[in-house]
Amino acid sequence: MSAGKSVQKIAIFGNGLAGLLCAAKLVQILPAAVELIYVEETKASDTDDLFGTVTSQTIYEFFLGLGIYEPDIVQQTNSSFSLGTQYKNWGPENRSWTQSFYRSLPAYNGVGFHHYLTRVNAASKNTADIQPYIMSVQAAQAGVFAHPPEGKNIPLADVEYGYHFDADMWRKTIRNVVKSSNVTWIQSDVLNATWRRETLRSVSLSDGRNIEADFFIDALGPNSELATGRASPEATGRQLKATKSFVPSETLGGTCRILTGTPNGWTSETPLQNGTTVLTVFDSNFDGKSVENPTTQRPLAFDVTLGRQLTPWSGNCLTLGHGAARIEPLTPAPMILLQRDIDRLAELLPVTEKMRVESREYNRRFNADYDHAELFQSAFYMSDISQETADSNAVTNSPPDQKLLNKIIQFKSRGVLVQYDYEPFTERDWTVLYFGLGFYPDRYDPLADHIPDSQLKHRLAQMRTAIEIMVKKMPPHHIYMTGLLKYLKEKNG
Amino acid sequence: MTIKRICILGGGTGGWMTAAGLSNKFNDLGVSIDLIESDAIGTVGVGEATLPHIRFFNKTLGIDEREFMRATRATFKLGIEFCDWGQVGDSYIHPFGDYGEPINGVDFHHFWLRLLQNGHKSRLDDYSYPVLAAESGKFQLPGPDCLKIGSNFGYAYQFDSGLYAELLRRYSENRGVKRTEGKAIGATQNTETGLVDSIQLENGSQINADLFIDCSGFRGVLIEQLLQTGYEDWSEWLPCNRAVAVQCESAGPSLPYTRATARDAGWQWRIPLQHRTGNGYVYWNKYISDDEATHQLMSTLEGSALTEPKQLYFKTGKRRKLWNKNVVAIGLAGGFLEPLESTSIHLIQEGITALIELFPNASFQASDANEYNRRMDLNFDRVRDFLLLHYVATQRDDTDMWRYFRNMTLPESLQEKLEAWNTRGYLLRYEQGVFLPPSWVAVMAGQNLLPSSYDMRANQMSDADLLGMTTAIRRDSQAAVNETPDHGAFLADYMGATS
Repeated sequence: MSAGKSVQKIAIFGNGLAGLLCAAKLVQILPAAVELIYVEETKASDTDDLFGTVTSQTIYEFFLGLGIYEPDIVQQTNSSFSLGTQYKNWGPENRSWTQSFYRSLPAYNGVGFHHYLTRVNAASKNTADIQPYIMSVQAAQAGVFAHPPEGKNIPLADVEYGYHFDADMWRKTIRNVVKSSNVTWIQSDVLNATWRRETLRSVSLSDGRNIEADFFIDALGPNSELATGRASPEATGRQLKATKSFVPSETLGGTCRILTGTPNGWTSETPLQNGTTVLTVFDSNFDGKSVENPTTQRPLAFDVTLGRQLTPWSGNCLTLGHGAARIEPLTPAPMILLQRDIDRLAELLPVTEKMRVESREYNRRFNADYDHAELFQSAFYMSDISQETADSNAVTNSPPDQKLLNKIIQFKSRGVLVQYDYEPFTERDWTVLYFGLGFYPDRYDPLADHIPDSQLKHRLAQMRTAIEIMVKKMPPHHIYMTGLLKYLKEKNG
Repeated sequence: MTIKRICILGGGTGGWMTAAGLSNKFNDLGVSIDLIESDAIGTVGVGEATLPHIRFFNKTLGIDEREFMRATRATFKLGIEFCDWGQVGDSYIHPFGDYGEPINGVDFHHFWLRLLQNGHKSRLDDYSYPVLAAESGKFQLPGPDCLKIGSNFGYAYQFDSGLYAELLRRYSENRGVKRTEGKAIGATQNTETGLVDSIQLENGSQINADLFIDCSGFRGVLIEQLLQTGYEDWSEWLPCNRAVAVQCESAGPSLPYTRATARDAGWQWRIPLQHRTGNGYVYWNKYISDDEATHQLMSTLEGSALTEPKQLYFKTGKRRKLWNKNVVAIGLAGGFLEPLESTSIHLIQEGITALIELFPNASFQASDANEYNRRMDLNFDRVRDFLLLHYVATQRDDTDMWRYFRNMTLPESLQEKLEAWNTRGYLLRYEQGVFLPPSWVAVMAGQNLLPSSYDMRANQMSDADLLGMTTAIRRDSQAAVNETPDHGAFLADYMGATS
């Protein structure tokens, strides 16, 4: 069996964040012998706002892999630190809680922390929340920030953080990074693509050029010219629209996004260094009724049908970004998944023109990642379930996924956390979500009874107090950011 | 409604491990544990070789390592040597540890493949301290700095499982487990729920409980004979169905590894303990008679036989549900996979750990069992694929059995793994399952399955830098081995010292 011609030229077609982040990654990892072309369409993407305004804690390491460092991000893009999202007025019970990033909760005697909370609740017939025991939740609610120290045994060391960002600003910064690399940069529009069966042969551009490559990455969004004439199976969901506005401010806001439920969607406020981004997202066909733009004075930031391709990598062409998947920016999922797409590609970069194994594995993991991220997001839309009504009681009117039901039933019945392979959201994320949605376990691990009552209460009180004291010592977000920017400025002369 | 009474049916390794694990956790929580065992029924004594996870099990129980090793006549185990698997005459060691270390997030074997494909030949083994130490018959405990060569490896034990069961019996009885000598002759079930209420013994007594653990071995007295749970037969993929086992006197130095030698109709194990060597031939009776298998085993013993050869019969597979109603099957009652990778005791341990984590209450909701069964199914499936890998990642076609594997249609999960490896050295990962990517690399590379390419990211480093770095790893690994004492000397010293 011949190994096939080796991949020597890779071409990315992009108009927004997805293509640029991908290019920035490939620049870092491609051997010198492989040429990378970036073709930028003249019109910028109109769906980048669908990536949302917040990242998860995984962004820091992802940027390191791109050679992009935190000082660049805070100095050039007005981004601010994000400890998570505070959900308000959510669901039929108008629930409020904060999803934040943290390292761990203590597991006394190997029994998960939430079992002890369930035990305390069972004894007091109460529903004490997990929120007071998570340092980053408390810091987020107080709007304070400081970088977590390495290897110190203080509550702050448990904090993890991501960024609040503006897609336009990030696009500009990363565009500069890519342009100043050794990539072959072309700015032109795609006229048409020549396919021979499953293989993309060449792409002709409006400037008369014809781009040939061994491997193509299509990051031109849902209406890409490259995809013309190529049918690929899709899974589609709700139609989602959004408006976006920006409220300038001299003072940086808090350390979490605030996301408030509305009758047919939600509104989020994301603090940036120079003001607050307000994103209003609504389901344009909520409960079978057509919903009008609630903020008619503003144009739509995006208008998309949620869903994804089932085989985003087909032949020698990979679809990346919103052409491949469009998901609701309810959580940091859109950015988490884009990062995972790019990291997955890096692991599976085709070596030769025969890339069936690579595409199959990419597609397998892509679907697992998106399926599991969707479980997390669809949990937000489930009302409290009991086992009897488990399969008929979903707000979204679509039957809940069996995996999601299994997760919720296991947690609700006895606090067991079920995780599958390839889950973008961790057990920590799920734990906070279950409590946030009011899915309290009916019983706890019997081994949680090993700690005497008084000792348990003492430990819990100690944890709460240590966190409260820490929060009081931490500076407000804007003061910390001002100090950091001043320091960076002085350091760089 | 919490569980107040647990009854374990069957002693042996599975029964006493379960009794120890449960009594350690539930002893002071008002839960009584009965174990029914009959001296008249022999135990199979599955697998005398283990995986590193057993250390965690012992540690959780609070069992001192020295005390354990003295009591079970244990030796240390750095891995398994596989002889004649890729081709007759080949051998490799599957260690408990990585090869080299990742460079910029890219697994080391890609760099090794790059060198290999560019004419710089080296053994992958030379980048593994545990392999080099095992080859030299050396051993020491890993040091505290787990990043240091000579400290970043796992180890397990080879021990007498009968003695281990005795140790755990003492442990369990000290923690309130009540052993009842007797043979189960029947059981009663609740007519409404079908839950098992009690077990009747031959002497006329009966033992009531809320939760029953079936450790009765292949027969599956509760899970199968009573509840008729059904068995998933995996003989299609792992057709070996018999074994003959014998113990003999040890000859030569004490080796810190198990050996598995491929044979015409199966494979043969050699497990060195302090006081003897365990041997066995696992075979497919379609291609060799019992007498011939016994003859071949006996004629290859390194020392005089200490026991009569013991014949075992099995069918590879597992129960359709390892947890059915209020019965959880652990050990051979739950399923059997040949001990090629020392997984028997490990699967017992997984069963106990999962049971503790998913401990039911007396209402026995279906969801309690469902999650247990989901997890254990994954464990069994993934071990099955890994075992099958040894039979199919081979160039052997010299006997009927090897030709059978050559023509086999593989489970899709394994087929995809092999293709991804062969194409580019890529390893399909999963988060649950005992064998991590380095184990797959060990077997595939060890059996001469070499990818035609490698991860493109491994090309970033210059040839000179890469050669310098790899030379240094080989040198440092060998230097660490040179500093390591002989296994026998270390063991004697360790046994002699008081903890």
